Amino acid sequence: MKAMEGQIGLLQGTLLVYAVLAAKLFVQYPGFLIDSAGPAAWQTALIMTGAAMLLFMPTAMLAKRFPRQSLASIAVEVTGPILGRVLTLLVGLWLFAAATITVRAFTETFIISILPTTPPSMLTLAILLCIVYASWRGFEPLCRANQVLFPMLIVAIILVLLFSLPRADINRLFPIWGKGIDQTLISGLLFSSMAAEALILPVLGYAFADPDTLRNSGLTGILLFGVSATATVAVLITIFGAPDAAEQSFPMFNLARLVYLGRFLQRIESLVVMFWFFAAAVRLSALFHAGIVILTQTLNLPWYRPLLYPAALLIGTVSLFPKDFVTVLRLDQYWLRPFGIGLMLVPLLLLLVARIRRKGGEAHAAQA
Amino acid sequence: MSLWQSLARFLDPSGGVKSDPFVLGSREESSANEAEELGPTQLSDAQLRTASVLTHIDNLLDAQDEGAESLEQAGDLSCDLDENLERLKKLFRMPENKDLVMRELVIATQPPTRAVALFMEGLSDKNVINSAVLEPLMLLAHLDHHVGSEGEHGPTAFSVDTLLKRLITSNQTTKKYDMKTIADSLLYGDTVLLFEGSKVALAMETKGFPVRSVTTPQVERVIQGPQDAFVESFRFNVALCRKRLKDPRMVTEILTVGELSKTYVAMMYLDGIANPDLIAEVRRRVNAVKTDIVGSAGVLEQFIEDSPSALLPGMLTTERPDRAVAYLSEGNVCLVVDGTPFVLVCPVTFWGLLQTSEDYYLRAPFGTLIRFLRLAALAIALLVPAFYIAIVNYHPEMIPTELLLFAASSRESVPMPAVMELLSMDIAFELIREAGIRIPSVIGPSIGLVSSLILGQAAVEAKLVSPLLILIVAITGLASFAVPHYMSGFGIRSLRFLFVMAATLLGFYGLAAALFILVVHMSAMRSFGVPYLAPAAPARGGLTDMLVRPPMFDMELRPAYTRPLKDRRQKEIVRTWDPHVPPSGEGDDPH
Repeated sequence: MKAMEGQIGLLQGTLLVYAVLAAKLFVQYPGFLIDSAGPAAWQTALIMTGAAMLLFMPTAMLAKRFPRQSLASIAVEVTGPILGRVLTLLVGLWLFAAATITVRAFTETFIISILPTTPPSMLTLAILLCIVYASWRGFEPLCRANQVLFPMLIVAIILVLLFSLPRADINRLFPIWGKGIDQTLISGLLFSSMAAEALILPVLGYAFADPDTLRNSGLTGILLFGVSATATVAVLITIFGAPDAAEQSFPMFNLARLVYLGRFLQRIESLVVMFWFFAAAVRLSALFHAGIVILTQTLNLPWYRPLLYPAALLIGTVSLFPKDFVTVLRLDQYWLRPFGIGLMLVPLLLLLVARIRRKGGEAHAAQA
Repeated sequence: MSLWQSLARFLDPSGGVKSDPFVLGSREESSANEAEELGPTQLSDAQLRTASVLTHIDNLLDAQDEGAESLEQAGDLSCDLDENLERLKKLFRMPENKDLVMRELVIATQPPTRAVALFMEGLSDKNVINSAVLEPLMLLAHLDHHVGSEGEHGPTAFSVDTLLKRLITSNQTTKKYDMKTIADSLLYGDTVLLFEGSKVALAMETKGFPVRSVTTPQVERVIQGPQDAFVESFRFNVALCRKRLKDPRMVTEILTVGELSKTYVAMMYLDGIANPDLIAEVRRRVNAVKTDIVGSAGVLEQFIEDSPSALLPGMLTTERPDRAVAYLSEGNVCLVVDGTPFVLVCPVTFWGLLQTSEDYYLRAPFGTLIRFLRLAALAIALLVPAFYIAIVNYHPEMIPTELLLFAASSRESVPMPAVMELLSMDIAFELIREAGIRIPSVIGPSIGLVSSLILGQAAVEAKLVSPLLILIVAITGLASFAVPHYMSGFGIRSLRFLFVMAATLLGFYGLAAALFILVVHMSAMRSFGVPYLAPAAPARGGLTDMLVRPPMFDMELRPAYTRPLKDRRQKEIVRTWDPHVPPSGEGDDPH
């Protein structure tokens, strides 16, 4: 399996982490941030970024201790075959859950925005085809595809934000401390789990040339995501105002609808949403592939491709279980994100146990 | 035939037929006939092989005391000229086969030696045979005297080495020791000399195929640049490259593919610049081809490319020597297939397929401009029909009101759904294109013009399609021809149909899904180990010369994706006379 993954460089790793995290800005997450901190949501985004980078450090240290190893093999080596598999399965389940919620969230986005009469199952099927194909091709082609599509994604974000600026009113950012510093701080720390998806890096750690590449990819990707989230949230607040922006499920889409480039070019949100599809597809493919890799390694299977179709079918089916989009939002906000914080502590736990049991590092090098 | 018989035949055409018409393999006794027909042929082949093996064993036994060199040279030729001729006749299926010419002669040596010159009719140059082979042997041999051991002059005694060194004036002559290599030489157009009493034959290079002369390019035309193109002779093609690349490091390895066609494939590369791993890989793939016939570069391409089923090509074909040479100088390997006026370049990237030689012959801003124009043409050819379908079917709000009203009114009387309308016109366009290629060149352009005008006009007047759609199909068709690489054009047209289907099913969403799959597919593709989207993804060696064509004096490095052994092609500062450039920075010597 390792032979099929190729090698990931710093740029590809960074862009992948950024795309996986930034795709969330097109759906409900800016609304979550604004809901929790009001006009000070941009400060929440900054705190969230700092906290997420701190929480990623144990992952980087773990990768340094076990260079070119996957999270599954590290967990088994450090905590034994049973506990190690349980821990990695938890990570895998969370990644699948995140993928499932993303499938439903983006399906809802597209139904509301551009395809109101199309059955959700059709949209789900189409995006599942994309992620199965991307995962079938492997991690390296996915990173390369992201590298090609990334300029479109970033241009779509920047253009929407820039063209919306004429409607911005800076006064809406006040009161500057929003719902209070304590609330801003707490929500910033809680929302640090928005970067939990960066765990795909250690899951596919063997595909990185060296531990420094993995660390820098993760940290830079999270930082870029933090900057984008801060800018997005700030622009949303200055245009819609905190109360309105907090109530919107797809604030970025609503922002795109406001863009007016003249009489000939209007209502470009359909076109912009097309670019968001790329972000969704990259995010989902990466989460899905990482989940599949964990499942393959946990079950000790020699090859991951047979798992693709059943896993995709499962994700597609489960994504249609919630009766409405509000249920999806609740599942995301109250279940997925809190578990995400716990998930980010798994590498810390593994690092501590590895130190106590003297696994990895120099001992590992000596064994090698 | 009487009138009555004619009438009877007209009324019952089968009446006069004595038996059933011939259908291959339908007769009951065919298997028995085949066995009877095959029997003597197989027997003859077996006898030939047995005779060859026995003679080879005899020759080995004779040579065992004469050293290793003699053992290596021991072939299956007999000392008996008639026996050798008989075996050759059987091998070439004479007397039914009339292509092999056998010219008996007596060489004026002391004593006179009987010999036979063999060549294939039509493959050899008869003037060369007359002047370089027959004349020296038949007329000049008796004039040539050697100094004997007693100091007396006398006629030359027969010796193959003497003939080779003193008489035969052919510029390329090799010794042959077995029937197989003799047969190969004959089939490549050489003339072979067999001698009485000798187990050695001589093969003289006398190739003289009918060859088309060098003409202007048919597919890759340029305005400002060389106007010569490759032809069907691989030797001419190699020469066209070598005259542009006067470097002794340019290597031309000759490989042979095709069990029956035995096609020459010249593998060209610049030793010391091209990566040895790449050279070895190309050689390995070409040598692995085991098939009957490799008649063209297109056939070889399918055997050796990484993804033969992909819609986009994994190798570049070019008919321009200047382009092939440019790739050679960048560390690529070129394959010249005998009988094809196209050269295969490996590896290639997607961006290379969008480039032409002319990009470099124009000044940098214009080179860049036409590259972006081509990129726009690619996007139009690939996406515009799908965009039209998506907008008309799913997102009409994107169209400005006036245009929307016009589109609606023009489609009002059209009975077909938009996708059927588009597909029918697209297929009609493809038909015109295909027919335009097959129709004789005298009437081809007229037919193309007439059919496109009449079809379009008639379809609009019959209210089968809307004028807007004609415009879209025309722009798309025009754009698809602006993509310079012929095979890429095929791929893009095929992909366009898939994209239209995706847009029909799910509008922009379907189109985005199809695009995503295409990008992932291209990201996974490789050409001889090089990522197809390099240098964009992975970003290696910068994006120089991918879309933007930098000034020639700024193109200091060879593309990194071919991993050349020497990455610098010119010094850091070439325009040393220019007062605007800094004085330092001579850089390393690229050579």
